[in-house]
Amino acid sequence: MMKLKISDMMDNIQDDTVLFQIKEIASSDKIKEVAMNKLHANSNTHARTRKVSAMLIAAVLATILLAGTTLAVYYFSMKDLEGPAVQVGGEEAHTLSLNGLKGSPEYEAAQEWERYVEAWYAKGENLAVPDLAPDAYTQYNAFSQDAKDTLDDILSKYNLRMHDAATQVNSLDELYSGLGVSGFMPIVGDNGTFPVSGTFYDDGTFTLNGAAALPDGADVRYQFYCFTKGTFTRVGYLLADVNDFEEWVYTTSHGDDILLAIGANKSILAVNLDKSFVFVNILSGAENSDDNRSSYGAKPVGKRDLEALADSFDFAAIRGLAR
Amino acid sequence: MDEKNALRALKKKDEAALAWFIDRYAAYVNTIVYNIIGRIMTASDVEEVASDVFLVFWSNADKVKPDKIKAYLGGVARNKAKDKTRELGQDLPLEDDVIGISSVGPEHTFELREQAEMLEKAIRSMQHPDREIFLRHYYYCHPVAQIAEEMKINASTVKTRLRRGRQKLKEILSEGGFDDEIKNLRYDGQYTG
Repeated sequence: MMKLKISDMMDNIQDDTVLFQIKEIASSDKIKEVAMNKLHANSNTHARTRKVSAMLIAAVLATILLAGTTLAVYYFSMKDLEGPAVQVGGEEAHTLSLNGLKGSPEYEAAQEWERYVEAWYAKGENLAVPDLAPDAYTQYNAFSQDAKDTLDDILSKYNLRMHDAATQVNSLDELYSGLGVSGFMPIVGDNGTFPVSGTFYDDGTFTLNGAAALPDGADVRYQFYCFTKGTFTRVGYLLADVNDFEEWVYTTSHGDDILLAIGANKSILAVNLDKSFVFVNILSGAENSDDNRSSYGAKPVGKRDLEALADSFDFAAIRGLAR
Repeated sequence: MDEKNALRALKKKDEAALAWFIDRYAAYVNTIVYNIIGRIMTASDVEEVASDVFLVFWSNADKVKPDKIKAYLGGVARNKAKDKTRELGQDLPLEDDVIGISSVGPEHTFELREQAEMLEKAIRSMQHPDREIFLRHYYYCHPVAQIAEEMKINASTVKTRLRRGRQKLKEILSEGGFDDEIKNLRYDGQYTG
């Protein structure tokens, strides 16, 4: 038997036929003030941050009826996801950060820690030994006391905390059960037989290799990363050059702003939520060339496909995971 | 300014147009949001959600038709407020919100578009006041008591009409599911229902 929630089905219809009693809860001036605050705050970039004083807000509100000024609504861009350049096969390769925007504590801490780990490895230090007892530091490749002390310093510097032990999952149901929530991912493709795998932590951070059915029925596979802010994850970078993507900001039917980017062989979805950061590596792009391992055999996607995929994730439920 | 011209201006990112729409629809949006989250969140939370609704409108003005503005704003307000309850892990106080379609197996999926079409078909087939009661409860998330008070009918009548609406919806979904089962049977030769 298939079960459907009526109130969820109603998410995709619109109505203006019901005439209910209108309540006077807040004045339209108050709504305007809050909306304009946010509109102007969103127009800032890292380089152009500015404080908006109450007087400036009042001045703007006073002038909006007189002049038709326009402001671009700024979200973040792919440039804010650029990771460090790395060496691959003797050549320099570009990367994207998975766990946060450039400048965020999570991003900076990850880079700083990686520099230490690489430096120790190059010197033959901080190596895992056979009789090493695993602890909370092991997941971060901190094996020596020096490494553990350094990691503690970095966590303190950026005000981050470690994850507890990771739990592996092999199905969406296991993930939902582990996180204590109901479904928030799209129905897995291949009529439910696609092998899902992932990891979650008690703080709500999780990763998932999954798949979804696109509107035309084709499956698209993805790697979903959700990092609770304030936690530290040792995660690699995605090999990708921001210049190889066409990006845009899409607002879902639930009002979430999503950064979408489509490339030749992969696509990106990224969302900066209040308490977590989401990055989805979509294993399909506009072309899917035969020599690309990740997207080989996958049906190419278009912009509408990525928007439909963005609509299928329940970001409201994902927001509630962060602890 | 009329709605058509205001929408045209909003598409050009005219803040005066946004202010005009807020003046026109703030009370409507506020009421929808308040009816869903007013019992569990503060007045300033309601204002935050309501302001977000207009910012979504600002970002998506290109997608809105002039005769669908009120419906669009209502839909976004309803969904955003509903999302807030999910973030807080709260359930909506709705009667029998989950329906089971026995002719369709659990592994089957309806695309969102299919669901919306069947739902609209079910709602269109309902007579007044069943249609209004169904929308008030499952779309606007009004509790039974509120519907009874505002429509001046008793609560047991509201529940009876909701049950009828759910039954109508089940019938239409079952018809749609049965058709798709036949397609699946032809596609892979194995009946999994």
